[in-house]
Amino acid sequence: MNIGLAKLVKELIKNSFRPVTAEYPAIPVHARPHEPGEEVRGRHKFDIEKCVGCGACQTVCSSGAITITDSGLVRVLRIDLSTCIFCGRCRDICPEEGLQLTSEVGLAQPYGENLNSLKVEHSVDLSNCVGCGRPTYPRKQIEAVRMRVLSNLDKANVDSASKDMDIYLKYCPDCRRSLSYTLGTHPRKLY
Amino acid sequence: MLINIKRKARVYSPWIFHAHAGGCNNCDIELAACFAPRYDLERMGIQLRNNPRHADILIITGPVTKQISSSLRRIFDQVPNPKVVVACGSCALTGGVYNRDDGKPNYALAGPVEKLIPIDVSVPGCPPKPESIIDGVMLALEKLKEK
Ligand code: SF4
Ligand code: SF4
Ligand code: SF4
Repeated sequence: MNIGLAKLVKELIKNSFRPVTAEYPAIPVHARPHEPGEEVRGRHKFDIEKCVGCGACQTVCSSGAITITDSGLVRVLRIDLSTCIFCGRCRDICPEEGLQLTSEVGLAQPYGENLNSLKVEHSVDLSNCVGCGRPTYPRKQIEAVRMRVLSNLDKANVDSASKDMDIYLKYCPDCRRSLSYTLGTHPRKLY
Repeated sequence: MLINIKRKARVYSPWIFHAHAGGCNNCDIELAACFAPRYDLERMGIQLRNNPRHADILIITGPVTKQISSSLRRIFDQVPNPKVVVACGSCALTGGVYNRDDGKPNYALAGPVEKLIPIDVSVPGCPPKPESIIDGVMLALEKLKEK
C-alpha cells in the first residue's frame, strides 16, 4: 500500500481522538499552562523593591502607555493597559528588572466601569535638592547610580569618586552647575 | 411573554457583526481564530454574520480612520436595538500605537471608537488573545441580558 496514504490514515485516526477545542471557561485564561518556550505577555507588575523610578521604561514605550507624574516628593508611574500593546520593551530595557509582565491576559471587562483595574501603578519617593529645595531624582535611583558607578571604577579612584558623589548627588543639575566651583566638581579642577 | 421568549432566545444565539475600522488587521485574524475549531465561539450558539441588520453584537477593531468613520456610524445605526458594542484591541479603545508621541492628534484618525459610538465592553490587548475576545463576548452577552 502507498506509504503516504497509510500515514494520512494514521493521522486521521489520531486526530479523531485528539481534543481540539479549548475548554471554556474551565481554567482561567491567565492560569492556563502554555507550551514551554512560548511566552505569554499580560498585565504588568512592578517589583516594589527593585524599581528605582528612573523612567527608562517610559522612554521606550511603543505606544505611550506609561506616564510619569511628579507631584511634590512622589513620582507615580502609571501604565494604561488599554493603550499598551504588550510588546515587553519596558521590561527589556529596565536596568533594575523592576518590571515584569505576568501571564494574566484575560483583561476584557465592561467599558467605563472600574477603570482602575486597567491601570498599573507604582510610586517612588523623590529626594530634595539641598540647594534650592526642588524635587530632583528618586532616592533609589541615586543609590543605584552610586553603586553602579563605584563598581565600575578602578580601586584607586573609588574613594575620591565616592566623596565627590556624596556632595553633588544632593543637588539638582542646575545647582550643581552654578555651584560647581564651590563644590569642587568643575572639570577644571582636574587640571 | 412573547417578549420574554424573544429576549431569552437572543441571549442564547446572538449574532455578531465584525466591523474593521482601519487597524493593522491582526485583531481581525484573532477574531477569525475565535470562530475556528480551536476556540470555537460557535459552540456557544454565536454566529458571525456579514450583515449588520442581522446582528446583536457589533465587534469593532481598529482606530477609526477618517475614511471609515461615516460608514462605521451607519453600520452602528443599522444594527437593530438592543445592541452591544465590543471594542476589540488597544487601538479601538484608545488609539494604541496609532497615537502620536507628542500628544497631537493623528491626522488620519477620527479618534478611537468611543468618540463616535458608545462602547459597552472593552477588550484590551494588541491583539487580544482569542481567550480574551471570548471573555469579551461573554461579557457582551451579560450586557445584552440587561438591555
Ligand atoms: S527601574 Fe525599571 S520599571 Fe522602574 S522606572 Fe526604571 S525602567 Fe521603569
Ligand atoms: S509592554 Fe510595550 S506598550 Fe506596554 S507599557 Fe511596556 S513598552 Fe509600553
Ligand atoms: S489593536 Fe493592535 S493588533 Fe489590533 S488592530 Fe489595532 S494595532 Fe492591530
